[in-house]
Amino acid sequence: MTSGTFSRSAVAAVAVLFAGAAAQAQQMTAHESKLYEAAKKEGSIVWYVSQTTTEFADLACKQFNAKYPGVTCNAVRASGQVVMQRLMQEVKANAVQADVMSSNDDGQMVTLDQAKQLADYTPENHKHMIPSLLKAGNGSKWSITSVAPLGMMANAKLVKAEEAPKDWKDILDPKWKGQVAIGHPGFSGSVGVWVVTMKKMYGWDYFEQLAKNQPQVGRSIADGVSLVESGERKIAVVPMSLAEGSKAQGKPTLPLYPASGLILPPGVTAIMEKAPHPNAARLFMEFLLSKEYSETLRDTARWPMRTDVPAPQGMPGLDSTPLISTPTEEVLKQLKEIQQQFRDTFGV
Amino acid sequence: MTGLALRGLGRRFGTVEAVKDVDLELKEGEFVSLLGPSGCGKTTTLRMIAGFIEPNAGTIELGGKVISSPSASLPPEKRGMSMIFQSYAIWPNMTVFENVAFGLKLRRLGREEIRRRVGEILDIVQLGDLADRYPAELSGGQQQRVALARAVVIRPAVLLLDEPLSNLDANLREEMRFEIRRMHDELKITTVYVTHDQSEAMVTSDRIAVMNKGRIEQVDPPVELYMRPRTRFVASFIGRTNFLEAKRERDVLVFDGFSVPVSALAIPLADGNAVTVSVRPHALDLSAQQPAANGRIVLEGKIARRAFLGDTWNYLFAPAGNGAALIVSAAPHKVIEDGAPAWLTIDPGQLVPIA
Amino acid sequence: MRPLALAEDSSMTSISSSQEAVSGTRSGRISLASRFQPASLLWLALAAVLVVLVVAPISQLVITSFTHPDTGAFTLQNYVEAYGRPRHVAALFNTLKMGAATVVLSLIFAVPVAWACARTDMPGRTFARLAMLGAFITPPYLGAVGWILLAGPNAGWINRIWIELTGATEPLVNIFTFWGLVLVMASNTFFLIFVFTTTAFEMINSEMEDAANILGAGTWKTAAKITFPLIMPAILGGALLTFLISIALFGVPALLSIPARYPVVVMQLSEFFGFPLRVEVAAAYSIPLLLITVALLGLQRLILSRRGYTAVSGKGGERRMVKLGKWRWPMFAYVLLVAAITLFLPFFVLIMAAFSKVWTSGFALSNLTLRNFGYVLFEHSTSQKALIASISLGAASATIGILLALGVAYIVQRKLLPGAGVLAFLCLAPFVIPGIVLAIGFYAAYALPPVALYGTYTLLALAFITRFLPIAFSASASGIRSIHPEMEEAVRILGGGRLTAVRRVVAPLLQRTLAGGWLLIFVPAAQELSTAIFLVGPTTRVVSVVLLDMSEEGRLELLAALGTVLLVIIVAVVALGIRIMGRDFMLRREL
Repeated sequence: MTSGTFSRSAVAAVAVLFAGAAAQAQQMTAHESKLYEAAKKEGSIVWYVSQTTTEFADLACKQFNAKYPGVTCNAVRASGQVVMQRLMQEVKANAVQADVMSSNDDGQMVTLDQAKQLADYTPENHKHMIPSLLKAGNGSKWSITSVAPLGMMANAKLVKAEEAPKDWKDILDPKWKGQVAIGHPGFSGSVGVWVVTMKKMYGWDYFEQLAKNQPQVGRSIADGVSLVESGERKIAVVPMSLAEGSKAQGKPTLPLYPASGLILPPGVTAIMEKAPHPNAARLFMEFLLSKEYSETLRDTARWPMRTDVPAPQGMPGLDSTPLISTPTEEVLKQLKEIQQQFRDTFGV
Repeated sequence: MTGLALRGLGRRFGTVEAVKDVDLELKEGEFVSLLGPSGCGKTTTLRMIAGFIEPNAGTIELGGKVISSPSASLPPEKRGMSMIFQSYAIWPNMTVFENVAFGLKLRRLGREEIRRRVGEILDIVQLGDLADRYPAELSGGQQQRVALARAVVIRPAVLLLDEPLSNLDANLREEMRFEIRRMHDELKITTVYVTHDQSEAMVTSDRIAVMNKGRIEQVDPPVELYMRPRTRFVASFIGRTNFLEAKRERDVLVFDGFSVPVSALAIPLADGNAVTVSVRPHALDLSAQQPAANGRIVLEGKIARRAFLGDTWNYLFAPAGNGAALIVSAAPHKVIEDGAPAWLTIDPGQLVPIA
Repeated sequence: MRPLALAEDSSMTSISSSQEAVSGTRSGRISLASRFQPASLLWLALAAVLVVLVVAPISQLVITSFTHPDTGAFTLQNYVEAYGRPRHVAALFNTLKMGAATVVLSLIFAVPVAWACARTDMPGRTFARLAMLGAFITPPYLGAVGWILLAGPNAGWINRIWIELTGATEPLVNIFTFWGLVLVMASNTFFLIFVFTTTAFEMINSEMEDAANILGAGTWKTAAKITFPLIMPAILGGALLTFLISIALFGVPALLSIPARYPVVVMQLSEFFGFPLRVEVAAAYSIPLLLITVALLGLQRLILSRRGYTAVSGKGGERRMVKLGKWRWPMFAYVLLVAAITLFLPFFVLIMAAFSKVWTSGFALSNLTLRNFGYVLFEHSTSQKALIASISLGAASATIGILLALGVAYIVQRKLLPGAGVLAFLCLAPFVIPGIVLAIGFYAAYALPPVALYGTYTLLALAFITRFLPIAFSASASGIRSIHPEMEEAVRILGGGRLTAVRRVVAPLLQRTLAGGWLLIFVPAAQELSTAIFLVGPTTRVVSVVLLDMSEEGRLELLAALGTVLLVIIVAVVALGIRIMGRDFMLRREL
């Protein structure tokens, strides 16, 4: 995934650094102070993350380090599969390195939970979360820490706003032949969620028709962004945060919010049962749900988690936008089958 | 006492017996050549002396101590010997000085001592001016001298030379033979010299061991070897020769067309009825007129073929009757026409019976 | 050589009359320790290392392919799963078809240029050779990115210019097609055919052709009956290698085959390597690739060992250059075309993108930026780390590989030990294993507990050493072959041990050869993708994998910047090699 707004991220980081640790400490809740004291003894926290870009993970760590001096955040960023593979191996070898794990695929959380690898912890900050996001989490096992709802984007130079697709079915129109870009469910969990949802809403016929339009099939969900930016394709199915980010960066991008709703593959975070730094892990979990972090999300054209931080300017609030979420179990159950179906339909 | 002795030395490679039953003793300061055709086992013998190859049988002793045996061998670096290789093996990454000084440095001699001794030896081999050159900048002959200097500067117990002159051109080769002998006369190092070139061996050696098929056929001083070869192989390998078959009838050897009393031969005759003798082409005398016998044997015949070789005539003399034709060398002024009648004089003292 | 261990030789010191007998002879009784044969111990040590590097991964690959993932029992189920689906079988045949097409295109690129460089008076022959070398040393996945920028159906430079000029509505070229895939493959792999063919042309003595001429054969007859048959084995050998390399190459299909809807084996393998991980199925699926490689390399050996090749492997004699006359410049134009397709065009647009804010905007002062470089070098934490990791891994695997190969080559060439041939065989064996298959073997052998090397640089280094061991070995062996054994014997007879000989004579003499071999490993190792892709962990990524990730993230400008940095490093290293070892140091091929 990509954000494309590193210059703004950098500004945000500097701002945070200047805010100073002392001021922050005064605002700590009792619970937070207790965690911080315990975390300082542990000294660091290791964050396995596939949810954000490297640059954003680095930014989050910097921010955490500034807020909690004495506890060093180490972000290990890789794609979802690599992170999961690594974790499972550490579990098998009984040498878990990760304290906190963030992924865009809550199916992974189900797998880890079944293997009894997730710690129980209900963050104090849950009470500030947007209710729909809180509900999409799992209470004590994992929480939503980022939202990258899927929608579409178009190249504003090549597509007039009034002609642009208004809903998911509009990209089946033959006038978009050779002009659509999508990802591959065999490589991307988010795309998997999208495919399962589309199938549920419109039946497999949706993809049969889409195949006739010869979309360019990339691997990750983010592939489409640069294809549309460069004009290689006119329309792509992408995470809206990337579409908004691209627009904010001054690129000719037209974010498209489908009328029937954005698809919501949840960005989830959990604490490992065998985390080497359990208190630092809890502190970090609280941080991901903190007001500062949500403000950073907002400042980088992402959706905040909390009710007390409004959505970025020009972006619809998550409360006011229709969201379609497909239960994880359903996605998990269907994933293998739709992967095969997809390969048969698209030939790759 | 640094004499070198090979006793019953043998070496197999797979099923091939490269060296077999070799016995050889060198006195201190002696220069002995191993002479033979390629594949005769001379290089294998030399490399066993050096310690690069272990024997399968027999021993090698140096100064009365066993240094090689089938059960154990002293590695080459502990033998205190040195060697000049066919390829010279001058190290191209070192200067002439460094090459020569190498063995001395290994012996941890002082800087000054090394400088002095290298300087001395380079003067002896006439390379004093070239000490700082790299081998690539030297001619073949100069490289050869570096190899020589490098080998002798450590004053080895034994000096081994493996066909050291075979890569030089003819003139240089001739010059270096004398150089090697001169060096030996000066330094008196016990030396084993391997070559397939008989004249090299003749010029340089105190004694020559002629090898054939892994065995030593004869060990003798050069003149002795030429004059009195013991075997057919030695006789034909050292110079050219004629072989004559004879039957022994009591005290007389009966050849085709003549006979010789046993007592007149060059060396005593072993027992046996059939006898082969060798007689050198130079030991025969040819004339256009019948000469007086004077106790020698005179055969009548004619010139069957002739060739002028520059410094000698080469005649093929066919005796009247059934006798085998003989090769005769004659001085350039001794001209006899092809096909003309001729008389051959044989000195019985030049007839050498061989095994 | 066994040291003497007789009881009575305690007085060995008196052997030599010389004043300064070598220290060892003074020591009297030879110690127990020195009776051990250190050479045998060395053999064992090297054998053990080679078992770890070569035998274990390959056998583990085969064993894993027959092992049930849960029960560990013997099973054929993995093969059923790997080849049970028509789609999976189709990928294999697609791959073979792609390989064959790549060979054909490579021949079209390579043979005329090789002939022009080796046998004609075409202008700019050195330039041509350097351009071909350039196409080879540049990573193929960067070439693929360059071609995406050039020939993407809508935004690619060629198509945009075409549409601009002609007003056409359909794109002129599309890189996301079978032939696009083949073009980018061939751009990198044709070099091997070029090298083989050039060498063969250079080895042909003109007198061989003169002999045919004098007997009455005309130019064409001579070419058909003499010249062509003489270079044929070289062309075939190069073609087979090209085929094998292209069917196992990962980077190009990773970027092109999915959009081209052309599934191939390596992509199927990476699907098996996804989550949930099915190493067993991946192993089973890779076995045919391994068998094809072994069979074709066997065939290649057979072709090259036939009489035809020995005729050209002799000493090159006097060569008469063909005078092209008015065809000089057309020939050069063809070379330029090949160089443009394989090197200049894709890398020009790539480097241009590296300096662009938005790559589609092209030349414009307002579009120019150094920001991408600053970002990949100093801000993007992974890319800087990956760059350092790639260079370190390249250096480490080159150094260790050369040292290891040198030890084995020395033992083999000097026939120090019986059974040295086995070591040589093991050193050369990885040549028949495609990089991606090797990675599966290493994963199966070492990634998981009890060894548990997954996610360590050690795992990558081991795999890289193995992958490039054949290059290291042939470089070392030819180096040692060139040193006369008497060079060492001279040291020993003067009193130096074998180690002294190696240190003072062999090592200094091998310096250049080994430096060349080192570079021959470093250059591909620093950019290696196929072996790395399954072995990198979250914290141990190499630059090639980061580049691939960037392409997935769509960050083409950043990718181009990081790729440009990698190119600069590679070109600098190769230039250094050319400076030390001469222009053709990468053009000589032992295999």
